[in-house]
Amino acid sequence: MNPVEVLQFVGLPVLIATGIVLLSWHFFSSKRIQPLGVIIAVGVSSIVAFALQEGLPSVPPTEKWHWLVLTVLIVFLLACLYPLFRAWDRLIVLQAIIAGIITAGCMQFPGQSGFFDRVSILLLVLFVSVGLRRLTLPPWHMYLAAWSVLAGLSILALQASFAKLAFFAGAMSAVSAAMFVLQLLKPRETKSVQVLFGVLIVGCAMCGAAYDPSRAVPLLAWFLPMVGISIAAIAYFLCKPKFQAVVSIATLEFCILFSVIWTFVQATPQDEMWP
Amino acid sequence: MFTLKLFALAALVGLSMLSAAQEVESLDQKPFTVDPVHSTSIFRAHHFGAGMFYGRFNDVTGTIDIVEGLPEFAISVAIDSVDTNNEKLDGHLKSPDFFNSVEFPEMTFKSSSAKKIGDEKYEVVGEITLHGVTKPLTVVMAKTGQVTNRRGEMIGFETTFTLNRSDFGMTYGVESGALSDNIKVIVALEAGRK
Repeated sequence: MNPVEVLQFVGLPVLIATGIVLLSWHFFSSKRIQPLGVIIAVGVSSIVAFALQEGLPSVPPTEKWHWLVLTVLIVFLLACLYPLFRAWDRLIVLQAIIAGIITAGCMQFPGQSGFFDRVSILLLVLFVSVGLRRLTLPPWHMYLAAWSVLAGLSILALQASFAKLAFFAGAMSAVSAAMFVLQLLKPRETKSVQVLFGVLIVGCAMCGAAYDPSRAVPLLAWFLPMVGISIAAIAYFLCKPKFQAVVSIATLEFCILFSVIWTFVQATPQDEMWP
Repeated sequence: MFTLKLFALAALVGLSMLSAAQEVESLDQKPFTVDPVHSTSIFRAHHFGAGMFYGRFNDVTGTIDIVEGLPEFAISVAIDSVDTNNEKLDGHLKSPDFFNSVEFPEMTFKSSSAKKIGDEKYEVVGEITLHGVTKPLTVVMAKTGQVTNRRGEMIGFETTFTLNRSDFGMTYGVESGALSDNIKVIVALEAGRK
């Protein structure tokens, strides 16, 4: 891992996502289609981030974790349609359920044992997507949450010696950070992109857990950032409006930090050896 | 005189029966079973274009059959047995960045033909399956010995060959030059049968 690689694997997706959003400010001025800018930016950049690691996957993929990008592609295409139909705008839970069904049906993991695993994936995508959406009341809030969670998952993947997943999650974390900054600079309508982040977060966490048989990262640590989103969303509603944003983000950050610190504490210290 | 002739005939019949029995025995002989303890698979890669980095697989199994004087190999290497003397590096090699041992737990080589090319040397043609990709592979196998002792009959072979790991979809670190694409492999087999 060197600065050139980081620039290539992380910088390029961020550059593409930022470029798309900047263009959308010009071309998608109507409030109705404003959310499309971020949806396209996140969708395209996630495909680019994956392709930079593994190239474009074959259909069906040769390795199970490659289903992640195909699932993101399907959910991305679907998410592009939602803002075009007024009736779908408010059906947040239904959008999340559809994304969950697609993810549960498409994603493949080693050691997957069937129905129970698929229902778990559906529920995780549902909770993460709806949780993220609930955090959008200041709209930048969701991007900040996605940035933190994906950054946390990237660190966990690195600890599990899965560098390609670490780069992918890291790149998407950086894209979320860019979306956060752009949203602060020019607040825009934010809709439906939460299903994309939901699939990305659940997919990265599940891939990380499935390809870590030696448990370099404790199993629960992979799930805690996802659960943290739901807890943060609940905390958001339990607080007084003045403290909502701070308390919910603090709750989420605590869950992520706990996962990362727990992983480092239980790790066997050994010299760095990345080829 | 008649007794002598009868004895000679009986001896001839006896010898031919013995020879036939031996022939049947050799046709029915079991293949040699690879001894994982005394078999080794070592690989070597160039690290950042500087040092040569070695690793090994500790679990090599399979069979060696001798058919019409030519060897046939069916060898399997357990990816989880990779050993670089660094637990974290072993973990990285097992991850989807390299071998993806969860999905592809074995590397196999099955020979399809062999021809003698020198004194105790054979050109063996077969297929290697690694990381879910199967490719033809031709190696020169040197017979390192064959003995019969209290352990039974034992045979040994050794080969050295090179692979491009990118041919098998293992591209991590190739472009950056962190780890060479070209991997030298040494396989030394000892197999026995009773």
